[in-house]
Amino acid sequence: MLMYLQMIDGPAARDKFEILYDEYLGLMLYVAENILGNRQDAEDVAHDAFLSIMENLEKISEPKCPKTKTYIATITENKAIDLYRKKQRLSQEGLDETMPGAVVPYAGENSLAQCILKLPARYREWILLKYHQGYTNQELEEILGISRAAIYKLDQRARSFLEDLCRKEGIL
Amino acid sequence: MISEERLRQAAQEAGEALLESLPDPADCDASTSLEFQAKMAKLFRKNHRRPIRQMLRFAACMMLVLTVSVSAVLGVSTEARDFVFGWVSARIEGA
Repeated sequence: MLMYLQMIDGPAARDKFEILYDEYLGLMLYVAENILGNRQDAEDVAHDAFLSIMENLEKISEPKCPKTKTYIATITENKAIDLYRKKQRLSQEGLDETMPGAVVPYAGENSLAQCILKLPARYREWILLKYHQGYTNQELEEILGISRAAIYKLDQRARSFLEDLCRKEGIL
Repeated sequence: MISEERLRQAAQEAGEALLESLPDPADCDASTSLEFQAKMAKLFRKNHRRPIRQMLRFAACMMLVLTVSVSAVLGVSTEARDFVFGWVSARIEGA
């Protein structure tokens, strides 16, 4: 009972949401506009992303930190891809394999990190949410709003695609 | 096969590279349409009502637990049933 009472948000949650809005709205519009190419769709995506963020507010511990910035950008990218898919009437699977993520320059020496950055957007965001942000499959079900079966499938496909890419690059 | 640990380390580096590639939020254009502002105002109101909704949900859960527990006890124990029905009868006759 105490645990449940602790989950009930107070003014702090409201403040957190407002801080996130003030801090990251511009960034979210920038990320979405880069994928969708127009401002109106970018605004729709930002709204959807805020809705998802609000429902998972307890998963953000500190509103102004690098981890939150990456989380917000990843969620926005995910929502932008969803909207893009709807508009193009593409199947989920086909798009997952083909939609490239934004180009991220990487000067480090970790070849696996290089391969992760080369993954299609959907797979890259999955790997980053799971292995960089550290969310569990159950948390990702809520964040991405997809079923357990879809989560399992996404995990399998992302890892398999990454392994194929690593083989091509001669890492594996 | 890529080990979980190796993947975690690489994802850490990839995440940092992604972070560096993102512009500073303060440098991004945050101007929005009136339509968007109206939708967000609605969302803010919804967020403000969250604690009330959560309290109501909590109260509903407690009521459900109580109802199920009392029903279970009444279903199993004849003494409890006699006591409750006796008390109810006494209240009705007294009224």
